[in-house]
Amino acid sequence: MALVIQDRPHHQTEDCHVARFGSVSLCACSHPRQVHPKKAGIAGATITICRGGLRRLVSTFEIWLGILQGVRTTATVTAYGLVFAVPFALVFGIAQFLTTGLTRFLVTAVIEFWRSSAVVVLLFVFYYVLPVVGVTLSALTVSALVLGLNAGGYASQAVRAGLQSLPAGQREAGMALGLSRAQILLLVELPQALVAMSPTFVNTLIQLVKATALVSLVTLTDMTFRAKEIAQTQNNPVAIYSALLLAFFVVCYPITLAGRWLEARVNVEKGPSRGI
Amino acid sequence: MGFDVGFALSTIPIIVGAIGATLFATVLSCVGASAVGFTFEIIRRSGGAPGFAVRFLIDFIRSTPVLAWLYFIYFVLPFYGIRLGAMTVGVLALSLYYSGYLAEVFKAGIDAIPKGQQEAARALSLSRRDTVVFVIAPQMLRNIAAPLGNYLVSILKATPYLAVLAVPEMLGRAFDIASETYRYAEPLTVAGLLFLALALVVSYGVKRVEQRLLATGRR
Amino acid sequence: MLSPVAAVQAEPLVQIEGLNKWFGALHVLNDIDLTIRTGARIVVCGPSGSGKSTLIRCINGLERFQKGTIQLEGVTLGQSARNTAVARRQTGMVFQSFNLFPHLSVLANCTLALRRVLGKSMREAEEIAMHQLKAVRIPEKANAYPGQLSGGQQQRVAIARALCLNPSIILFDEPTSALDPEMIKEVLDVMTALARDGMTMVCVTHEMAFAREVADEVVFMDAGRLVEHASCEDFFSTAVHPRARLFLDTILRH
Repeated sequence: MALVIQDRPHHQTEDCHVARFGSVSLCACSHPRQVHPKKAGIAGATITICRGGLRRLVSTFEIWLGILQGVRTTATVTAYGLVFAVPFALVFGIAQFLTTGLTRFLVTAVIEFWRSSAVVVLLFVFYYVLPVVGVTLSALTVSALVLGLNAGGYASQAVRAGLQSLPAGQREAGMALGLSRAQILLLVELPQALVAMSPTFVNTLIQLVKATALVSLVTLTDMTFRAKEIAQTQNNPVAIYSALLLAFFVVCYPITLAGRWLEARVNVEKGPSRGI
Repeated sequence: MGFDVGFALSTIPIIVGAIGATLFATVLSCVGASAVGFTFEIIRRSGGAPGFAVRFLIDFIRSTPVLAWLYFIYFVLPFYGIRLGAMTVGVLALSLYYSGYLAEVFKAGIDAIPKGQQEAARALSLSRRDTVVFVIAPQMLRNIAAPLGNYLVSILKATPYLAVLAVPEMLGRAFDIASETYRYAEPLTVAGLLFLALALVVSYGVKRVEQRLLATGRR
Repeated sequence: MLSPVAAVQAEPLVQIEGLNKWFGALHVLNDIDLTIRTGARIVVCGPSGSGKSTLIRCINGLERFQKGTIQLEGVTLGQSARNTAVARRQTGMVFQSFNLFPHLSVLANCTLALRRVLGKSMREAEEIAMHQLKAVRIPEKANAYPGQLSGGQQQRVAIARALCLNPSIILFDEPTSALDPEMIKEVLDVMTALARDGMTMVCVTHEMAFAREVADEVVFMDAGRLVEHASCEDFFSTAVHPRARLFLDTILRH
């Protein structure tokens, strides 16, 4: 008996779920209840399907438009993030390359903080902690800061690795020509390192764009936020979240392709010198 | 209001208590992503229409954010009557997302094995299976150990995304405390530091394993 | 020069007839006929790109071919994968770049096929492997890894590995081309000793001194054709084909 009693509520919830999902799928389909079943001949059915298809097309279009409203925020956070990321990557990457001892340890510590922290957590920490310690920044600024410096932390490692991978002969040749250390860095080493590392920077840029989806969690209305808003009024998760994925794909894939093109070019430039 | 250090300290044991869920999600997602990624790479290698489709799928996954995949799987599966727990959905999403990256890792790992190795195996009459098991796989594993370790750390750092689905991992636990006490700064700071410490420890461990593998490679 | 073996009377071990192979439009093997008798020591030479390596890679089925037949101890190679497998067991192959398995010790490199292909026990396999490692004079490196050995040592291990399966013929694909000059001799010495023991071998090489000392037949290839096939003495003294003459002049001058 006990088993049966225990079983019952479970079954009831199951039924509830099925019923709810059943009605959801009815709504999402072409509202067949509007058509009187007896009157619906083949022609009627066709019209219904067409009308349903059209309605679905219109709603898909609306979803697309709705999500695209968020693209401005996505772009703004990305661009604003780059304002933090690029200088950080250059300054700290070069600093890690040039410094030694305690200074290098401190530089590395700063880089590791931004690079090794989980960006999700970091965003919330800064969003909630800064006001408590008396720093009030807009959600946009906080997001750009955290996402930008996180990306900058990754890119700084590319800068350092690029500089380190240059043969020592480059620096020696510069010194033999009487260039100062700064001149060697600026005129000889950095140009080569940045070219060699450009595909890595493109990858970091893609990571940054994708990370902007996070700002939806701190109330900014980017594409992800818009998708969730639309999901509250329209019960069509398949269309909404497919559209969201597709929207990011449309933004990021051209960057991926550009990165591949860049990588092929960089490899071509490397080619002859490698052969020798 | 200010930052209450005492309160922050008091949240540490509660948040650390969720470390199991974080590590569980990390390991399971890493295994899942490896399995899916390896399968993707094998299909991609075999070419043809499936190979082309998988090639596109990998590009697609790599061009889309993990958060969007989390929402997609969480909201779309129930729409088709498939209801899974939040943890399962999270692990599925992370596995799928990182499989796109791990497929590339496996590709590089296999490509780095010289063609002569397979030829030598054939010349010695080793069967196809024996060639994979005794010649290709061991060399591939050594090639991929380092990047795989790096992705293990990446996946660890992605597990707090699961808090969005109310999975009780460390960030989720921190938010639980926050919503009960209306104090966000302290538990979130603690969660942030714990994640940082965990990531540093795991990447240190990965580096050690990597060095040991390189040492045996030179042996 | 080694004493001439009774090669003429011996059984044909490999019989190649009308062998043709194309890489796309490139005709890499053009109507090759070649008989290799048991105990023969054949050196294949010719300019690079003449199809020498491709020819011997066809004998153990590493390369497919489009026309013709290869018979190895009466088994016809080519179409059926089963026959390829049978033929491969009769042939040992030594590669230009050694192709030792870097993750396995020297001993494990030698025992892998013994255990997995011939199904020998670990002990039996190790016994055979040690015997062959002694034959190539490198038993002390049995537990070393390929990465710790010099190129010459690696190639000797590769020869031992090929010998472990007790092949009836061993194919050498430019075995000394990837070696530093001071290591070439140790490998050639091992090969010479092998020839003395009566092993049937086909060797693609540019080492003409080795050819003179060891080979009893020389095959000269040019642009996919087998243009000269003569006894060793005849080849070096009276090679008739102008390309062969030119090749000999170039190579002997250096």
